[in-house]
Amino acid sequence: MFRALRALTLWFALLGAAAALAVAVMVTWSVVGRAIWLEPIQGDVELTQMGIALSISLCIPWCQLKGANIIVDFFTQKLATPTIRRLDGFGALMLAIMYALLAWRTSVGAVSVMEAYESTMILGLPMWWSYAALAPGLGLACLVALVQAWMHFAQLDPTRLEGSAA
Amino acid sequence: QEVVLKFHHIWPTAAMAPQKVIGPWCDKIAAESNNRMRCQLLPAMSGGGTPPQLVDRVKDGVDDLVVTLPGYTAGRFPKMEVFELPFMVSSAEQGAQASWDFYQKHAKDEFPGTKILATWVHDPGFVHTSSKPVNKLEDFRGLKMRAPTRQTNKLLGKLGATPVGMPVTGVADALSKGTIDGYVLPWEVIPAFKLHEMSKYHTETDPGHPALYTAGFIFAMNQAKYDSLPADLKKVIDNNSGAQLSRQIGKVWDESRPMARKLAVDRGNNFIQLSPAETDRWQKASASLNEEWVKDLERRNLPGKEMLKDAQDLLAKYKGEGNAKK
Amino acid sequence: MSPTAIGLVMFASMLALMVIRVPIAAAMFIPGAIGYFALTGADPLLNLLKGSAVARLTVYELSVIPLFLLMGQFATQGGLSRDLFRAASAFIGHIRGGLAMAAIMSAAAFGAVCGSSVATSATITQVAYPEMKRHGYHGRLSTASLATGGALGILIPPSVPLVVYAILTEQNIAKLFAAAMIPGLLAMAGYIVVVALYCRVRPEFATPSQAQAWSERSRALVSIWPIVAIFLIVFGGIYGGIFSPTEGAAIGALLTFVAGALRRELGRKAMVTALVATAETTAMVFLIFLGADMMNTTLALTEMPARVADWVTALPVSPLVVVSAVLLLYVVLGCVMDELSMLLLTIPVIFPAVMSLDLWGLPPDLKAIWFGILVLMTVGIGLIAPPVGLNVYVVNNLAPDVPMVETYKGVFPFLAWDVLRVILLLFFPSISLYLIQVFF
Ligand code: NA
Ligand code: NA
Repeated sequence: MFRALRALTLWFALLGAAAALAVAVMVTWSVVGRAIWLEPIQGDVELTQMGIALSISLCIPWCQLKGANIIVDFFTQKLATPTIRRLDGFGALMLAIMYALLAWRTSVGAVSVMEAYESTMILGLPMWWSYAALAPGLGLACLVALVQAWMHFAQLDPTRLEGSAA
Repeated sequence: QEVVLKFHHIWPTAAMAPQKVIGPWCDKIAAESNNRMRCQLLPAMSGGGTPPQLVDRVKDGVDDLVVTLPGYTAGRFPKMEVFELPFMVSSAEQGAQASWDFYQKHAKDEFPGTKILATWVHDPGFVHTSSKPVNKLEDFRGLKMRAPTRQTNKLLGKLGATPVGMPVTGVADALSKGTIDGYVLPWEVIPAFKLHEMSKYHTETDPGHPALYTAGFIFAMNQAKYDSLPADLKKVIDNNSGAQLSRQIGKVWDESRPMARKLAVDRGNNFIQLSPAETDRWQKASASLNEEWVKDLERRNLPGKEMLKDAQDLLAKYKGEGNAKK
Repeated sequence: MSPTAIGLVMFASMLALMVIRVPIAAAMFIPGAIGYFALTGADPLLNLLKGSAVARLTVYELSVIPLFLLMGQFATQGGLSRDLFRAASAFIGHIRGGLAMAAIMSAAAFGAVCGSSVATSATITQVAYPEMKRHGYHGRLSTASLATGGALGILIPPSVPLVVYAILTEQNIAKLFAAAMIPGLLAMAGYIVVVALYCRVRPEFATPSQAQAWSERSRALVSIWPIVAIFLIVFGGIYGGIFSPTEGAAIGALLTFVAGALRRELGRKAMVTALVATAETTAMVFLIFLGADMMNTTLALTEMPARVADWVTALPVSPLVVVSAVLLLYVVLGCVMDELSMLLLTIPVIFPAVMSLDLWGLPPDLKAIWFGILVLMTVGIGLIAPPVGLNVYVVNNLAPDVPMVETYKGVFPFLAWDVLRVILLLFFPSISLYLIQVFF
């Protein structure tokens, strides 16, 4: 189970960063087009907004898996390992709640703007895409955080989920 | 006990709308309710979210009161969009009156869960450019122009320009760098972003024609919040909303125009006044937008043709009244 | 409870959660959400959350962050940053302390394409630390100069904290970048002087390496042309008015990718490393945004920021004293918090207060930019100041044979220059504002 969850999270991250690279290609194309043929890509700003939002959300589960969220560990340096594990379990739980709330409510938001027929200004793309695109990343991040919380509380070594490479 | 209404809007406090519309309105309802009701102002989106989300926020009761532009959410208010078509509206005051009547007659169902207190449009929009003057229709060719709404985006395309989408906050910077060559905006917003300092040419269509474009505004309240008020406080809100308020706000927009325009005159910017004949050419070039709008509504099984006619008739009626007064 | 009381409880809970290792994003989000619930009820909170993730993740100006991070990662994995260090050490490696100076110079050069200090510290430590160790540099001098040099990642534009400041205060990002340029270069020059003085006092800390032949030097110089070219294109484009910062970042990311691929260094494995490292940092940054957004929305509702602003402006002291006190507060906060959370939490409260003060008679837009650079400099101090200096953590992680205490001992002379620089900027705003007059 750990391996499957880890692999899925890694794919999300690779896809997320690749989406940012794709945005970079699109923007460069648009700038070159604007400079040479006076023809930027129509709606490049909208595409950047959507692409980067998707990119970020896909990156979140990996950040969670690697424990890369910033914490203040100055005040707890002297505590014993089991106590620190329990605190980290609590921290993972707090994040899981945050991810769950955002994933759930963003999905509801997607339905709202879909039912209202909202679209983007220039390209007329359905607005709900922006909302719906965020849900999978937030949802997977919630799952990862819950597994981590369980591992911390069970005093299991969290690096078993992280793996070693990459 | 005191009722606090969370009033969320897009402008920084020093802008024209908070100073001349929102602030006075809040003072008035406070006074008329003997301070049993007041606004808690959340300027410049400080309550969170994005401007397009304001319509959902007031519907859902996140905010109690908002002022926003239906045009921010393209496709959501297809009926009210009629006032954003080119060469429709002649002044903000007339546009405000017509849009209120039109809203009452046709568009109430576009705002479920929301109590609309006023609707209006801004003062006429014009063409402003930084280095290349627009003297005639052909001059749009190759110009990168920033468009504020879906309809102006289409309009600029029809006129021959390349429309670029960006928030109004980015216009000054984009202009100074040549990312865009110009923009369309009404005079009212120009001083707030110091755009007159970035522009060299202002092309104004013939004043005998309706405005090149306008964009609509709504002043909205959460319906449930309104319903929860005791009868006497409801009455205070009722007394400060509707046709009268809409018209008055439209007037404020019209009145802010000469002052803003004077700033550009004083700087020695070049003003280009289009002849009636040239304005006619622009109007012809963009006329197909009306048909597109009608088709758009018909695709949603709405009587687009009648509604367009109604909007035009209402505008004509208030234009007539305005002229009669003069 | 009154709104103000709710605000205070919320703030206290946030600090308490941070102390017990709850990740900062959640430590801001959860109390913020509970506070919002207490002020308005469950339905408004749930409806607010429908749009909050989209609202923050689709901000066009913020899309420069993942793009600049991507650019920095491609430069690292493509070997461009290693070449930078080699070129610098070919020229000054034979001077006493020369390798430390070279590390600082390459950190500055790398910082000119990367907007994050964590990424800069990590990158430069990976290429420079083994060399310094091989040449018998003292651990303290090595890690201290690497951690300090890493701060140039944000002090020299592009800079993620400056982007955040620009968004929060509605200022022009390109102008802020221009304003940071001279102070950033000043920081680098000062750090090099500090290394020179350090080696004069403790010559045993650094052994000079063999001087390189001019043929070696010119070869090293030629090898860095791609990164120099990319830098010129990106910055020439942004300041020359050809494209926006987001567009510059996109072009820079693509060009570094191409450069790395052409040199055959950006293979499959390096590519994966670059992408996941970008993913990790991007998500970390934006999660803090999401948490701070929730906190700030609730704070706005409690009207606390406005009260604080009123209180500060009514203080019977001179405006400069107020600004100094604010900066001192940042130094203290910077000891226990990371740079972004600090900005996101305080700027909405403090910025309006500072803007209402008369400072050197500056007009509002220049005042906003000058204050932004002051804050940036102060934030830079927090990155290396004990007990919680993010850069020190990063560097020591990659140089585990040097005890952290040693690094902290080593950074003090550098900190002295940081403080001096902030004071200089406080009294001479034109250090930051001069270039704005040139470029805009
Ligand atoms: Na930088
Ligand atoms: Na710190």
